[in-house]
Amino acid sequence: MQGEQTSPSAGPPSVSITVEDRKAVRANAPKARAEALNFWYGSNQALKGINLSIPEHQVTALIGPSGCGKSTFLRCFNRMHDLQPDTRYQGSIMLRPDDINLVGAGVDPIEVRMRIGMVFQKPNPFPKTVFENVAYGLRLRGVRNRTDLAERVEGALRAAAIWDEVKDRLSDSALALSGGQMQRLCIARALATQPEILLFDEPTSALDPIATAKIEELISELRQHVTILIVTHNMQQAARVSDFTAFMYLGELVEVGATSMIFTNPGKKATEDYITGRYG
Amino acid sequence: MQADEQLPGTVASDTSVGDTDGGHVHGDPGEGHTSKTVDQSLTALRMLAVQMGGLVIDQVASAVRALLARDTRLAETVLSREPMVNAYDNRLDRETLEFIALQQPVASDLRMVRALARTALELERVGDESKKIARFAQRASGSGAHDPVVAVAPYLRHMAELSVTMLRGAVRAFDEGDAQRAREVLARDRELDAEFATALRQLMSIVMQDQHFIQATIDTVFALKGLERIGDHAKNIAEQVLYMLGGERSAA
Amino acid sequence: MAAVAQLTLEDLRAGLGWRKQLDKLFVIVGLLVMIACLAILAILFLDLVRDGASRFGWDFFTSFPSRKAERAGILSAAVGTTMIMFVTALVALPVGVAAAIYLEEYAPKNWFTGIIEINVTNLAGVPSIVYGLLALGLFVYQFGLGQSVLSAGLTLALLILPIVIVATREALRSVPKAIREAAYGLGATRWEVTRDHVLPYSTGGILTGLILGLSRAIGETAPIITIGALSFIAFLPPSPVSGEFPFLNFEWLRSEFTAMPIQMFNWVSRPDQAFQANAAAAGAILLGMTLLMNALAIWIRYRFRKRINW
Repeated sequence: MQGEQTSPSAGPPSVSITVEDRKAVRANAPKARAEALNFWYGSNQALKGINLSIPEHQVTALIGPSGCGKSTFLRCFNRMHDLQPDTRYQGSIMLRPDDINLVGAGVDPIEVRMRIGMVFQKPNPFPKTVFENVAYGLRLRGVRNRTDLAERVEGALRAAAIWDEVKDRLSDSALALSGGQMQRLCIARALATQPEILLFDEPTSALDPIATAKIEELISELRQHVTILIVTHNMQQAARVSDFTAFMYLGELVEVGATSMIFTNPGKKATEDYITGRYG
Repeated sequence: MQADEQLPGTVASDTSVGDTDGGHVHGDPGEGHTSKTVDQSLTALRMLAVQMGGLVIDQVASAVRALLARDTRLAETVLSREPMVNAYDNRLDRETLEFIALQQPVASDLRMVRALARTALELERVGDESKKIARFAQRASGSGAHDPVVAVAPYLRHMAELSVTMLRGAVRAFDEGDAQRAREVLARDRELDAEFATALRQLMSIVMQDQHFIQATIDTVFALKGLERIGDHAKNIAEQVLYMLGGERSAA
Repeated sequence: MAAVAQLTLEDLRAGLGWRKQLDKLFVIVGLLVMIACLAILAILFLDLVRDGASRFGWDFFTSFPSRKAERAGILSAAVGTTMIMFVTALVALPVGVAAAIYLEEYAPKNWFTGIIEINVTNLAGVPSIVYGLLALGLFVYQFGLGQSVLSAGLTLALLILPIVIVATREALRSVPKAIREAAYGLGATRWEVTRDHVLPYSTGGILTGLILGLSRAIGETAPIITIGALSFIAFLPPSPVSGEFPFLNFEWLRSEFTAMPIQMFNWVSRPDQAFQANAAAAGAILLGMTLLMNALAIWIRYRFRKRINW
């Protein structure tokens, strides 16, 4: 045993424990930053003055009770609200490194959606073949060459940890897959276009525990390739999966911090109450 | 640990208590989870505990050797490493808590994490006991036929061997998930207690004959008691191991 | 606190018998009504077939109308009907689908759109003779298209437009919002979402709507009489395909024509009893064509539904 032979003043040997790694040892540069973000559905203000940094290549989770605005906030990132009538943004979400305001009036929502991907709550593959599902985003961007398409589709399916399960079924209908597989297919579909940020809107709430565990593991791995923002109403999932957690309540951001801190020793009483189940 | 200063009769040459080439062990808690993060965390936590165990075992052996050989330098070494033992304890304590908060372990995982935390506590206390023995080693001086330390030296030595063996067995049982080994540790404790009783009687007879070394005698009693307690801590660790494995074995 | 009466088992069972009786009663009533309707249709059909039985045969299909009942056939009428249906479908489909897409996907939800939607459904209730008058004034005289196959086709297209629009809108609506969201999320424009996802999956419903519309148009008499379908045509409109360049011509669109309902009407109005049989036979054939088209619509809907299940 080498430990005891070292000089007396050495600290405990530096064993890398992932629990420790998951705290940002050095501050990660933010990939996006929401500044004084307000949002209205008609006359109803759903987001109030949100200031939040989303660190790059980390998983940030948004938690909070129903109606707190976490999904609303998420959907600001890819301008999904623009599809509804009578919505209004105020403030900004600055995307690095080109410093574009994602919710700015002069910014094209289609362009935003081509850079920011989304995975939805209920798996929603297109009623096409597995291949065509993943290729659709690429076709929209003008990729026509068959070899290119095949390569990038395979890459995306591998990144989504589903390649082995579907490599012989690329021409089968996507609807023949199981729920968990369909959701991973949807993740592959979003990954194919190499988004800069990947948004997850309660991605496992419609899935069984095994499928959920696989997707949580996938999200953990994807972090090295893409910045992830995930909304979940399952706090334990946020604890397991994320590096940073933000707690929202009634449209406001109450607290944000490293997940290990939030779940062992949160700063605000409101956060503590929510996490420990004291809803009052 | 220099070869010529090994405690005779111990298996001190085998210092590889932390045999973590894991994977071949029955029901390895550091394997098989869908989440690799959990696998890695559990494996790392266990490795920390085993390393702490190794350090503490060495502390005990060194402290007793320092006492028997009147080696004040060795005693100083033991004392200076005490903060390291505490640092291990703090770290394990903090990280097991975080693991519970973040991963919500249940069943075997939860038992393991709990066993880890309690084992760290027991090991920290063993560290304290060795510290006391080392302090005594620093103070003790003089020799002669009526020096209580010399008089009970064989008992000290034997009890040290026993308690170190028990510790090593307990830590190894923990690392390898070996219930049989844990039970052996429990059985050894009786031997240790008997040895302690005999040593005490010997001391009492010496004291009645020669009353010059009362202080040293009292200190020696404490040293013996410390070793006996170390054995108890090892027994506690072994019990934690059995509790941790309890769900997997039908006849614990 | 007043004691709330507990429901005992007897209470539960007391009402149960009567409720189950009511259930069975409804099934019987429904069954009877349905059988009655089918029976009427069957009787109608069989009556026609029996009356016209003597006239069924190859010559009936291949002869022109004639003053002699035995020699009168439906050739020109059948060809005319076919050509008109072709034009109708060709016009109604793109216009109806485009209108439906606009209303469903693009139009903002305001009062103006509301007015348009109300009027579209109202159009379905306009009497068909009014369409005929409109067509007479607009197509025949104003646009100078004359009393031709083209005018008839356009008129009937207008007639079935509401049916096509409503059916298409229903089909578009049946595409789940989740699919659209997924497509938008990948950066598709509204047109790309419509073209790549909404339209392909609505095709079944759209075709069904079109065929139902056509099966209604096939029997419309009033509008085409108004624009001047002749009833004694012993010639066929020029063939659209000719042997020399360009191989397709459109002369046939401008030619005068007749149609099945007209022919039937003409025969029935004749004093000569023998023509009744002709009319009955033509009627049976017309009814048969209608039933066939409906069956086709149902089959198409079934086939498309099998391929896609959300």
